[in-house]
Amino acid sequence: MTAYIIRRLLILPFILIGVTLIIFAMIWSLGPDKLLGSYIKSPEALKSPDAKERLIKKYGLDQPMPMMYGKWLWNLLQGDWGYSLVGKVPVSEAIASRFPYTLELALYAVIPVVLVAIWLGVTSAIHQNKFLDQFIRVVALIGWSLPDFVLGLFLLWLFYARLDWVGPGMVSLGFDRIMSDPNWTNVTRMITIDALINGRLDIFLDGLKHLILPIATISFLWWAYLLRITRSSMLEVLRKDYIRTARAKGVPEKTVINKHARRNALIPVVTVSGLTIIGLLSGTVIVETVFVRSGIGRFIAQAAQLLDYWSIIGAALIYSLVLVLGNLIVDVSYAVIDPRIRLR
Amino acid sequence: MAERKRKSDLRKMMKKFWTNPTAVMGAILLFFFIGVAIFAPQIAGVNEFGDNYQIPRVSWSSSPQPPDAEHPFGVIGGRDVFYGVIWGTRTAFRLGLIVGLSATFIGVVVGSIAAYFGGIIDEILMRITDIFLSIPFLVAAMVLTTIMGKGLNNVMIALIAFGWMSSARLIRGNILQAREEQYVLAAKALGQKDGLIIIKHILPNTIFPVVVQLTMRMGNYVITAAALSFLGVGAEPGYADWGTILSYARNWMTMLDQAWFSIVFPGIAMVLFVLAWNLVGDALRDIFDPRMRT
Amino acid sequence: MNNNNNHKKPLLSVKDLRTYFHTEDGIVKAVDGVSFEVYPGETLGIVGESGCGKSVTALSIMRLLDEKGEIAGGEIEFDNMNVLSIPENKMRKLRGNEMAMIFQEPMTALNPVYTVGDQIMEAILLHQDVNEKKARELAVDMLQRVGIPEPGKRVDEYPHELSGGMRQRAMIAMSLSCNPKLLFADEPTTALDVTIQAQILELMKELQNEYGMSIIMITHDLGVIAEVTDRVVVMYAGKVVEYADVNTLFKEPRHPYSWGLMNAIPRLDEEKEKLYNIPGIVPNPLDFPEGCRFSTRCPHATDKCKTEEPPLEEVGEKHFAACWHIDKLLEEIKRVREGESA
Repeated sequence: MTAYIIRRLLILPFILIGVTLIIFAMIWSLGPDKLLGSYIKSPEALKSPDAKERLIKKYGLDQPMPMMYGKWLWNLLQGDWGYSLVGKVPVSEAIASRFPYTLELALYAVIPVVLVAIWLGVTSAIHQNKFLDQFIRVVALIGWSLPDFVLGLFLLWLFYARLDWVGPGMVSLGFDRIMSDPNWTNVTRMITIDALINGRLDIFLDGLKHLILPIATISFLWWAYLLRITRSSMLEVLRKDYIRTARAKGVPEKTVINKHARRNALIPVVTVSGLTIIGLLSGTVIVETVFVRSGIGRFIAQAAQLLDYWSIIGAALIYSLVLVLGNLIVDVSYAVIDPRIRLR
Repeated sequence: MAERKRKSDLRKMMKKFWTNPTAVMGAILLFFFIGVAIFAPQIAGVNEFGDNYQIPRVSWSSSPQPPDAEHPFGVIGGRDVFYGVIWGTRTAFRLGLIVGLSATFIGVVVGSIAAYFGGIIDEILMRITDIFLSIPFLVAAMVLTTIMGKGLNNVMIALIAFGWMSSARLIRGNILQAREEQYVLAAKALGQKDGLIIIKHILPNTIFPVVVQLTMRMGNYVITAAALSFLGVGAEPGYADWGTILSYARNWMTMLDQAWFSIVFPGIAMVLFVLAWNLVGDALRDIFDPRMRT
Repeated sequence: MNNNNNHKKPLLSVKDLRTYFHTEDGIVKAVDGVSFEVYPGETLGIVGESGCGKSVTALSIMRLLDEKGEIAGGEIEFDNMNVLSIPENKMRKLRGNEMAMIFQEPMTALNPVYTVGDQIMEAILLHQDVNEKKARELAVDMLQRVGIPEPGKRVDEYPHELSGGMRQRAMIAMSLSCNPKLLFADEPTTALDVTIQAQILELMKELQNEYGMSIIMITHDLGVIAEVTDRVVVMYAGKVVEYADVNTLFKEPRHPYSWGLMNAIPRLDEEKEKLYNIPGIVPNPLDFPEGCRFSTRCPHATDKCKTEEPPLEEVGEKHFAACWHIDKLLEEIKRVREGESA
């Protein structure tokens, strides 16, 4: 198993270089003129007639692509991710202050999604074609067809405009002022956790309340997806010879399902659960925009509208990094569950 | 013999499809949307001032107008929602089919090459596939459309550029598996060329899962495109596209009570459209994959 | 082994068993009126081509059919119990304990995510009143008995770490761990190499002598039948076509299908390459021919065969066959055998 993990770790840098290369190629294709725009903070700088040429030279925008890529990558590794027009601070700083909000949302969403989906998927499979199964499947199919921004807007309309139960944002008005107060200690930058650290149960509960609709929105699609995978995986496993062997041994049906079938059925589900976390994370772009939460999802959406290239690139890199690391964790946990993989 | 068998299998599959209630529901929905797309000019009229895919302005006031007799789905941003939803059906089909077919085509080519040549070429192509899969789809499409600029064509290019990988992986895996099958070994023993074997024997038997995947992803492409429009980096404002209408609602986020119709009508259209493809895809998968049959 | 079953009571007796499957395309009568007995300590062979219903017969007796399958009629008596009327929770206590089963493909029949030891111990813990430590000792002991080297180490290995033959030995160890009275062996050697096949059959004979259980050997291979069985049921298309002592069957087959199967065995001592095959294909189980089900492939079939179903009749001492034209077959056999010896 160690060899397997080492091999996966060795591929990691190549994947990351590949990702930066794709992203850089996209931004390079803008050409020197457009790229220059993202370096200039005020129109004053372009006043003198030869300023443009000079600045293009200065920032090395006329150099061949490999040179520029090398320089960009070097800066990236140094922590110089460019200046963010949206955040009015360096991109690295802007991302560091926003990422915890996104992580908080994804972490809260993932546990109910995975547990509920597995439970319902297994239930659906063992009641195959009965009413319960049909019902779960139809709901899942509708969930799978429901775009997250439509659901988000709908929930916002229902619970905010109609019922006035909870509004957009991450905390209620007033609490945000307490949180930006110098006396407020930021440890994790995740609202619910920091609220507990600061001993403000009211803010903690308020933060949770504001998380409910975003979580519902973000998780509905993945919940449906995961359920379908669990169901079909479970159905396939229930047809296997070793299930018949277990029954022939006199194993009670409950144990057959919970011990012999479920563990095997969960092998593909683990992979997909990993994908779910990743999917949840990229779903944050939409959900944070709809519910006005200042994570990096909303950040990249704002940056895209302002053509703030360095912010977009920075956020895209973070998303990719999370995805790649997430995949790695999934592969390793896969090896833990399935003894057959450890040998390879 | 094999040819005839395949044909009778196909007939059997068609029979299974039409006796499956969810499949029939999906097909009916799909035909409904096709009808709406074809008769869009008759249903919603045309834009007398220019491009039909531009929703005509009916008002210069920015405040939303709730549905009435003249504008059954209301007006938002000065645009008639009904017109946008109807003509948006055409946009959805155009986008879904172009993106779906192109991405699948690229995927099939890449996957077949990888499986056919194997070795180092396979390794390189699959690592490239991995790299493309390492950027979240929506984020990657956002970066590309931001850089290329707004417009439906750019959206389609971005979706194709980052949408081909799953078909590549699928077809590669299927070909590698099918290569070991008896009929392929037999063809090899008869001295048929590898390329011919892939086209004649392997592809027809491995393409079904790809077709299923294409159907299931069709809705996904439309949703992602709409999401891009919603985020303001997709189609131009005023374009007859469901996501564009929804994006108008963003300005009324805190007063959604006044703009509900700009969410509900395009939202319903989108959900039903995606549901139709998913129902059909789901049924096709059950039919093609006998292990999944219930 | 002993053929002297006259005064013994059978361990298992199956009477007119009918098992039907409800499929999308219609009702499949996989087993359609099958009867036989198994006496204590003997080995009964069930032979036939794939799809003839031999595995379904075994699964029906153990009541392990999937939800589409249904026992539509007949009686099964095992150890003085009426199997079909035992409640499920009691039936479960029989499975693995009183009657056990081994399968064709040991790779897929063992759960890939649990060690071999776990799977053997599970059966022991279910049916015997022992603690886990003792169960493990028993499992190691069992692995030793089936001839697995280093059983103390193998017990903690996963199925994929064992070779095919070792897996089947582990499977046998698992099925015999509770000392069952009846063991179903469903094509236990088909997936194995020829040399391993012989070892496994030898092992089963040894274990039978040691434990005294009865075995139902399900196979399509008459070689295996000749090797290990005492009496034989020949099945075709869900029906018993011949039922006899193994020596009698090979010496005096009375059903054209049995005779066909015998001629399909390649014989190493013969120089001629000709390998006789039964012409035609097994009929579609959704649409069995009327009359004798073998009539579509039988060289002796007449109009009567195509309309009237032949009953299973006693044709010799404890020898049953279902055919209208036993005399014709006798002539053929005589002709062929004379030709051979000439």
